[in-house]
Parts: sequence; structure tokens; C-alpha cells
Amino acid sequence: MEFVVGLNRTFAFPNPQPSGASTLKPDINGSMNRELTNMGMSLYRMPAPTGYPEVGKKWISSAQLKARIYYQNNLFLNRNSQMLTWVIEQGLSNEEEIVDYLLSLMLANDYQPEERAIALNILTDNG
Amino acid sequence: MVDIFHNGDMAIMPTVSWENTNRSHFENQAAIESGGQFLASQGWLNLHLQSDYREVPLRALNMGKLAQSMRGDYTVTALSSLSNSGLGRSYNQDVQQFLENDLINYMNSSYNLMSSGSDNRQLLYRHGVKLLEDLDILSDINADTYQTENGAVYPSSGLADDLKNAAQLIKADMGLEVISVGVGGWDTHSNQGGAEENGALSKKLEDFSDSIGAFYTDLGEKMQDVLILTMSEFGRSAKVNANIGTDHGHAASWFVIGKSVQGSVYGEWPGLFADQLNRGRYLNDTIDFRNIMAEVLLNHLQNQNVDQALSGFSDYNPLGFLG
Repeated sequence: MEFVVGLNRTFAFPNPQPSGASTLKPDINGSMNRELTNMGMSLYRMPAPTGYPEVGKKWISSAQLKARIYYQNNLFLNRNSQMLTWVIEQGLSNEEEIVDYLLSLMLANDYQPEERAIALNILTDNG
Repeated sequence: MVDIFHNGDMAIMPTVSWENTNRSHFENQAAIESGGQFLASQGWLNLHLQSDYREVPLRALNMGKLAQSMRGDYTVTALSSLSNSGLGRSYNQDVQQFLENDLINYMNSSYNLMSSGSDNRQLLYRHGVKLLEDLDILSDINADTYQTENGAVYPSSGLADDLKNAAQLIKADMGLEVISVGVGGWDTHSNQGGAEENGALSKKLEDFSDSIGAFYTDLGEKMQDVLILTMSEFGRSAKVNANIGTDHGHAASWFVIGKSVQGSVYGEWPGLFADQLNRGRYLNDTIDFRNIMAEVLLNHLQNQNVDQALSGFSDYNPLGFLG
């Protein structure tokens, strides 16, 4: 849930809608809640009394990873994505700056050089 | 499900619990699924999978949230549903191409970097690599065009969808040995309802029964080699409470279904009179769940090392539902 809220707050993109329309507000009743359910965290349905698990051991599975990858790809690659506008607004001018800024935002710079190299490859291949 | 019972293919065990039970659903459910150990990191089915190496495309599948039974060092396939959605969808063909090819290679490199280091990094590595393998293995399976057999009609529910996906994958002969499917909503503290059509509990039981009934019909003769075990920690108090519901109880009902099963009701009936109830409130247990698991491990999964999957439980006494 922090991942989804964090992505949406950071990028403030219009939310992808199945109909092709978009809205600037987080779409609580539509696709976002469905995606959250796929990620194992339906809104307001947390198990009482413990809530959703905090540690990886309790939630990581291939299905959960897939749901998260799918969500972020959908957010950035759909036809309404404003990623390019966002990059320009942040004043980022080349791929290294973009990768470094995103890694600092998302991982608080907790990553390995090899991981940064892969991120850079993804961007330069398809930028 | 009543037809399955009349066919002689269902063992009903209405009084299941164990000596170390406690009053927390979470702790007790996890302990049961760990083969009788509290705060264990490995589930009993995962321990079984670890006991024996088999090279098959798809050996263990978990539908929905990863069950404690399936958690552990053996990396199981987990699906939220059987769809070909891949890692994303795009209207742009170049982007779609990227999602289906390059991105998978990049993800593979990323996950492989995590093969050492902290526990969480290794978890990501194991389950991430599994995800990418499964995308490939399952790419030919199309859930949308699946045709049920023998006139099976699945109801419209999450449980039914999961069982239908499971049936399709069993028929695909990919080496599946263990599948886990979960269904919640049994904590009926208020407005539980009686046997009437719209009672909350009776509707849940109807879905449970119709979903399993459809799965059994759909698999037909394959049920010779398939065993359904339903496990629950949810016994309820014998008396209704002030909110017209029931509270946490003691003994719960378990079912074992398959054409290899000796159909019957198992376990002594402890009675519902006040002096026969556990703490004056709950149905007493007469079946230790570990004996059920032991019999499934020994006679169905052909695993002789029962104590390894059941936290050292070696004093087992099979009930005889598998002959």
C-alpha cells in the first residue's frame, strides 16, 4: 500500500482507467483498489488484529511480485502517462540524472552499482 | 458435496483440533499449517516438497495469498489468477515487445543480483526468478478458453475461480503435486444466520460446497489420483451469542475427498450436552489434525518421513480414510 500511495504521490500522474479516460485523483473505487487486492492488500480489509504484514517473509511470493511489477508498468507505460512531462519538470536532462534521481526517491540510495547499471540499460534501450 | 459423500468418496471429520491449541486464530492456524509448531517459518506441505527432488515444470501452486502450509525454503508458484497478462500491457507494439522480452531479461539480471545478502534479498531472488520461469511455463495456458468437463458448473466466486484454474493446470499434466487454495470469511461473530437461503454462513457453505462439487465433477476419473483436503482452524462455540453469531470454538470440521477415499464419518462424537463441552462452551476434539496430515503424507504423497513435515510428530495413528 505504501508502494502504491508513494508512486502516486511522487508522480501525480492521471490514473489509468479501463475506459481510457483519466482522473488526477487517486481512483479509490476503480482500478487502484482492484490492483491493491491483487497485491494482497485490499483497502479497509486488513486482517484484524494484526493488520497487513510488514516483513518480506510474510508476503513475498511470485504472484505478489507480479502484481507490483504489473501495476508500475501500467502506471508508467499507459497512453496517458505523463512521465516525460514529469522528467522535464524535475529538470533532469540525461539518463544518468534520471536514474540517480529515481533511485534516490524510491530506494533512498540503498542499491548496488550493478542494479544502477541495469536501470540505466533499460532506460537507454528504450528511452 | 452431498453427492460426493453418497458416492462414498468423502471422509467427514467433524471434531478436529489438537492438544496445544490456543485462542488466537492467527497463531493457531499458522501452527496447524506448520504441522504443529508455533511461530514456525516452514509449512508442512513445503517441508514435504523439500523432502524429495522432482524435475517437473510446475510442482507446487498456491492460489491467492501464500498459505503458511506452502511457505518455506521450497519456492512455490503463486498466482492471483491464471491469466496471460504478463508483466504489463501496452497499446504500443514496441513497448509490448519490450515488456515481453527485454524487460524479462533485465528483471532476471536484477533478481540474480539478489542471490546473496539479506534474507529479504534472497526471498526476492527466489520468488522473482520463479515468477519469470512461470511466465514462460504458463504462457501456453489460456484460462479464457478453458472448457469444463462432465457438465461441471462452477459458481461465481473467488474460490470457484481458483479451483477452476487449478483443475485446468492439473489436466495440463505439468507435474503438479500440491495446490493450495484459501477461502476466508468464517469468523461469524454476528448475524451468522441459520440454514435459511440468505443466511450469511449458509451462503458461504453453499459456495464452499458447490465450488468443490464442481471441481470434483470437472476432474472426473482424475479424482482417482487427486485428493482434496480441507483444513480449518474455525471451530465455533456451541451456543449462539448475543449478536446472533458464534464465537471462537475448539474442534473444527475437516473433509478429505477423492476416489481413493473410504467414505465415512470419522472420529468419536463427543456430544453437545453441557457436561460434554470443552470449558462448557465448545465442541470437544477427538481427532488430532496431525494424524490426518500423516495419513495424507504416507498414503497419498508417498512420503515416509512424516515426522520431518510435522515438527517431529512420530506417534501418529492414521484414521484409515485412505485404506
